[in-house]
Amino acid sequence: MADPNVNRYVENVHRPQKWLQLWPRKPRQRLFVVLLLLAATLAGVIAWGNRDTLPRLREMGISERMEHFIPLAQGEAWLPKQLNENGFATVTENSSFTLFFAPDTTQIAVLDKTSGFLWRSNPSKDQLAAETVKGMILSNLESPFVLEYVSAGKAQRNMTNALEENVDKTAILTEQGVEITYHYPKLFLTLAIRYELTEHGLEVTVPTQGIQENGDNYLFSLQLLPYFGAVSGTEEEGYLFVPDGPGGLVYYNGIRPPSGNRYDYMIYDDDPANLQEKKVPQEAIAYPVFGIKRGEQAYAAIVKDGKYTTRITAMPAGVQTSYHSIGAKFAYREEYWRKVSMMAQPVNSVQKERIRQDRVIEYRLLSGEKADYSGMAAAYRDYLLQTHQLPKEVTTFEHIPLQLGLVGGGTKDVFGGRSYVPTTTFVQAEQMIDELVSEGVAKMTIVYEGWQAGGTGETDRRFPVQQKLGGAKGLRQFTAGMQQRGFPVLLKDSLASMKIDATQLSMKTEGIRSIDTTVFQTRGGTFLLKPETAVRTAKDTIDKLEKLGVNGLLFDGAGSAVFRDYADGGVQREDTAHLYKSLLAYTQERLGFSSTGRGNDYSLVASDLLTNFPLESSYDYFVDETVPFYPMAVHGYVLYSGKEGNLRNEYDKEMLKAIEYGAIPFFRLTYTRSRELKGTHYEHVYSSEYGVWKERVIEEYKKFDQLAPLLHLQMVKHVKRAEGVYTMTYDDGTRVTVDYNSGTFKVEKGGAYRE
Amino acid sequence: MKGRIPLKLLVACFAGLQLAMATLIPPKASASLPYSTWFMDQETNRAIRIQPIYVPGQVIGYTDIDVPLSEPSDLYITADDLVYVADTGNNRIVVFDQQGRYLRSIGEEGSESEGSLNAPEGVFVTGDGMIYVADTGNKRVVVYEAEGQFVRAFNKPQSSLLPEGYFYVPTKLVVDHRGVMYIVNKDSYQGLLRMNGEGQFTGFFGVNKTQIDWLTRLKRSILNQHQLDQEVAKRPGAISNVTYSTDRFLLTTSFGVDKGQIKKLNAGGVDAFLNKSFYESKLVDTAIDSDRFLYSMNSESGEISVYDPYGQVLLYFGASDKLAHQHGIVNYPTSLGVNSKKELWVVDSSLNVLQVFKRTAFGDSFLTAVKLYTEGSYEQSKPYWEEVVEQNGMMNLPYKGFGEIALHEKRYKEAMDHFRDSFDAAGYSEAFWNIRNNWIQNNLFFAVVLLAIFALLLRYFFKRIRRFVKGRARPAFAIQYGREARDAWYMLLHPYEGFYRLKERTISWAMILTIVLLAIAVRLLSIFKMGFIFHPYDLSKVNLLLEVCLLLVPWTTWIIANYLVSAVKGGEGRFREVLQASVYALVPYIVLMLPAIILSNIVVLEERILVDAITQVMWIWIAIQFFIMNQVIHNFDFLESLKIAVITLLTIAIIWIFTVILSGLSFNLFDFLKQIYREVTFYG
Repeated sequence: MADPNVNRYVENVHRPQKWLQLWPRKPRQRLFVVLLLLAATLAGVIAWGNRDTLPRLREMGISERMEHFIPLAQGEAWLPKQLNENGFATVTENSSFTLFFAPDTTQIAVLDKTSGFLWRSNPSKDQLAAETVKGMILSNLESPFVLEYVSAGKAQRNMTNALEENVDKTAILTEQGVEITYHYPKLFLTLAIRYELTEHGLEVTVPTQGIQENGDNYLFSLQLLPYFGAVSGTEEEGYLFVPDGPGGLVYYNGIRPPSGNRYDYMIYDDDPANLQEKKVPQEAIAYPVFGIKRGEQAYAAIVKDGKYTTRITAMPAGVQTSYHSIGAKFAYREEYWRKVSMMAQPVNSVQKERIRQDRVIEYRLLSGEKADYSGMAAAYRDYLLQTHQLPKEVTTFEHIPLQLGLVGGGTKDVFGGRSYVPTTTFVQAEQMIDELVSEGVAKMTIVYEGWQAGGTGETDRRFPVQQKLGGAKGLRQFTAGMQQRGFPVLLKDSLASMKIDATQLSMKTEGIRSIDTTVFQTRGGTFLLKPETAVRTAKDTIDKLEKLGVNGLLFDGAGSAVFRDYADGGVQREDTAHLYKSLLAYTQERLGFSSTGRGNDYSLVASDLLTNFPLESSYDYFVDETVPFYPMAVHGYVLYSGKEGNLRNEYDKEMLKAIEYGAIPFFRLTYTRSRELKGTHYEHVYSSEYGVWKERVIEEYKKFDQLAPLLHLQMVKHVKRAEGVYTMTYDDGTRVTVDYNSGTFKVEKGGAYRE
Repeated sequence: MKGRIPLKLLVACFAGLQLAMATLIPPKASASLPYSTWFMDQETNRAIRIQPIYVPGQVIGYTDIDVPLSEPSDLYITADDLVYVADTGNNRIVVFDQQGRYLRSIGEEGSESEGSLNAPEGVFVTGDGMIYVADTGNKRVVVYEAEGQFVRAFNKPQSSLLPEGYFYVPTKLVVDHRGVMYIVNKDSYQGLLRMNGEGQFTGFFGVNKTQIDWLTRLKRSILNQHQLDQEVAKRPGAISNVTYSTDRFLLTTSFGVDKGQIKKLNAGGVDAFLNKSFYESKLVDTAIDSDRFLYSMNSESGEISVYDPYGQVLLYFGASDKLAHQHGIVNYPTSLGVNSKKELWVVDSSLNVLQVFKRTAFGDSFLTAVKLYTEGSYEQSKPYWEEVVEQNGMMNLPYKGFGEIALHEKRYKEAMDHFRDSFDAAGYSEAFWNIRNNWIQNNLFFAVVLLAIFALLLRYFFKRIRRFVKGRARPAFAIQYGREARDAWYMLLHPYEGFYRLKERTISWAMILTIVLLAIAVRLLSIFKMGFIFHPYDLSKVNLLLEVCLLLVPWTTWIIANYLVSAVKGGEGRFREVLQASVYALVPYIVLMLPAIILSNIVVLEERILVDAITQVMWIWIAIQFFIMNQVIHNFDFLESLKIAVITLLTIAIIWIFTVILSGLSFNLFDFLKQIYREVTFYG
């Protein structure tokens, strides 16, 4: 052992130096060090608290959307030698169709071998002889596309087409068709379009890899085949089909007020993030289909790729040309009002980055019996089935399920604060349901809303389940009770829209950014949650609700909100839809039941029930008649309901429409009087008192119940019998005839009445 | 440091104000109808959307007619529902039947004929079928027989009473039962031109008053006549349209006026609506139905407002769009008419069509209920109100109706509840009067006896407690606190002596805090516990912070301003003295507001003068207290004190103006920085 004194001595000598290094002597410095340490700890705690605790998408079995672009055709330039009398060369043929190509104009034509009908991309020279328009508009009539471009730094749009004088056109043969590359030497723009035959008709592709912008001109939009199969004036019987609401017909001989002459809408509605304020509401396009019927011929065009940034445009004869035009218009850039200052007028700007998506449209050619909107619906249904975009057929029903929406309650202002007002507790709900059962309502699907702790549907403060309704325990008992009766209980929750004042989430980090890179925010005090955050947060909701015996979720926005997030690393419209669809599938897998509103086509495959399904038109002058195209395409595969019975504009008319279009009955009720909801976020539910509506619910249920045996069947034909009288035929031959004049309907059983 | 607290409070107040002035944009309509129907919840100042009362019907004028309508600008619907339309662009009058079927046109005879029209903008049909047309392009009024035969034309009347250079350009007209014409002249501010059946000018009618703003008043007071002549003359708003009602009133619609947008004039030119404001700026036409309900068309928003016979607005519906392409959406509406089935016909001169709106079942029940209610047929209105409430729980009017019914049936308690539900102070007051009356009749004797016993008991116990308290030794702070409290009480009636006692003395923070908190508490109490008839609105919407600020911010600014001013002007008071004196000057507020609150709960509307008097006395008293405080604390004489008080008030104004400017500037600066950031990120 060494002498301890020595050691002590050594320590005494060295200690002050160590102290100097770590712990300063002066009190002020010490204080500084302490504060520094505290600040560091605090920062650490905050960082730890803010760490990403949400489950990974992979844990939920959700993969990111794969993006792969269609490669361009490779090979020698094709110079057709033999041209027929119309200037067309044969490109290729399959068992049903032959594809022709005219090298000088780059027009194409498809011959339907069975009917002998020739579908031309443009009117022929002879037909155009009578045309009075001149210049660009006339040459557009002869071009397979119309291209819009902008010059750098300008918002003004210029137009060009395939007939421009100095455009280099190169054709390359592909396996099933031909690809044409257009090069505009003056504009430094290049574009490729491919036409290929399929077993149903023609497929047209605009690969994004074929677009080159080498100068100061940028592609703005591309209108593809605006005159494919176009009819001039009223020379033939028929109509254009536009995807307005459930489906809209524009007759060739329709007479409309002059203002209603244009149809030009974005599929799935304009992107809210693009800040294009719309004043008058319009039914959003829910499915990417348009079509033409002319005499015994028709086609249904389905936008397969790039549909999220595609507009459907149509214009009747007489507005610009004497032809009825309809087609898809691909958006490559967005125009928007850029706010430079809170006080200055916004500046009109065009987005810099091009939207990089392949564009594919399939024209399914129909003839004879199939050449009408029923046939188009069948063609679209076939397409959905072939591409696995429809779920399995629904099971057979003994009784029709009543969709019973229940509004639990909401938060409203009270004496300088806010407080939750219950309107339907779990106990009251059970009481109501028991009563309805005893009165003959045999089957129900219950959708509960306003159950969140936050007191509104648009909140992330979901748990604990609202105490004033009975809390988690009350919900548990309620679901158990419903389980015994065999009624699934769904809870409604918002995926996209969030109330700023009701969320704990930071709008700045978790809300999407608009096109001008500001945080997106509506005048109604809501923002849009990043879809990935929404989906990842939903796992926790599902976990907790699974324990409470809930059978499913109705995700508001999953089937209707399509938007882009312009933040760095933000998502495309495609991704939003993909994530929402994946969540619906995940919900089905975990809880058994998933549901959403509206029901855009991508949500079909993962939904069991669609509410507020598009059954109404936009009241557009342009649309002469509204037809059940979309219901016909999906009936038998998914259940859907229209507007809630207690909030209809015209009670009997809308009930008959729901019956005609094959919807299930839907009421949205409260136990207390509806006035209690005044001041809450459910203020628009202006008439909901159970006591008031009970008799109507029972009466209506009995009417709808006649349709129960049809729920799993396809709808095959819809016809107008007379003014206000319509008949829908199901695939077992059953016919449902609705008479709006007398306000009645009848169901004629299948087989016996088959025509 | 001193300035910071009120600054913060001010900012909070502004935020509160902004909230209070929340925009009146109706919420987004559901997708099924392209426009929304809504009413203004007057008590909470919010637009609430409800189900439609009118839905779009036919659209007329582009098909099944020889030539489609072109820029139609007026319509008249006769008692048998024939529709006459001034088809301006086609130089004719077109007649449709009730279903919108084209019947015939008038005035197309060819340019030489005396009956041919040139861009007519107005049409009117008398009870005996004579058709009067404002032949705007030809500057005359033309009369046709029912079959369309030309009868005569009225050119510009010759009269010395007509101002020189008066332009006679008739655009709209009505003819009363005596055959007198009332003619709207294009952009004329003189009012309607009145012409008798012979075509003689009989004076102007229904002229609007010139609205003079403060700038004009200022100019008038300082500019000389020569300078004034160079100013653009202020003109009253022009009348844009006129309608004749079945009960022989003339309804004028005026553009660009703040008041009297719609006037209901009798033959003597007296406005039954008393020139009240309709809170609309762009009204183009008014229609009146057989129940005397009014409908007006706003050309900017495209909304139709529905009013009861007294001009109270009930509902709004409709929308406009520059690219209008949907049923029910207007672009440039020019005229509005209503037929016997209560269908509304709208003329749109940009869409070149007539749009018909049909009443829904709900609209029918609601408007019938309102009709019976305004007539006083409460008993009959009951089933309609019940139907309305079943279909819409958000409106207040039905509960007013129920209140009146209950009042009528002597169910006063229930009536009170209904009136409270619909924020109807007058109805509530009446029901309450009945209840109070019954109570007094039944319980007066017992109440007096009880009150006497209570008073005696109070007196007895008060004495004992006082003796008990006096007999005990108390800690020093309690003694000081007690003395300060007594001084506060003493000051109420002896302000000079009282404030003098405060000089050179430090009042404890406990006392200061007590009084300020009490004042705040009384303020809150005055909001929530004031009788219903004094606060007939939704208390849940009250912005508490704002209300407290309204009391505290002026008070705090007074303290600072007064101290600053007196310090410069040689006042004696230290800041602490100014503060504590200002606190003590608040005492009358606490002392007088409390009885006012209690009283407000037992008086009825006719007796509200009692409560109003107390509050007015209170404010005067407080003002006096502050004045005396200023004089005593700083040891000024009366005139000096008066001067200082005025300067203090000016200083307060300056402080506020500076705060507003500063916050505005910093907002600008902030926005500027943000703008630079955005530009950099946009181009970067």
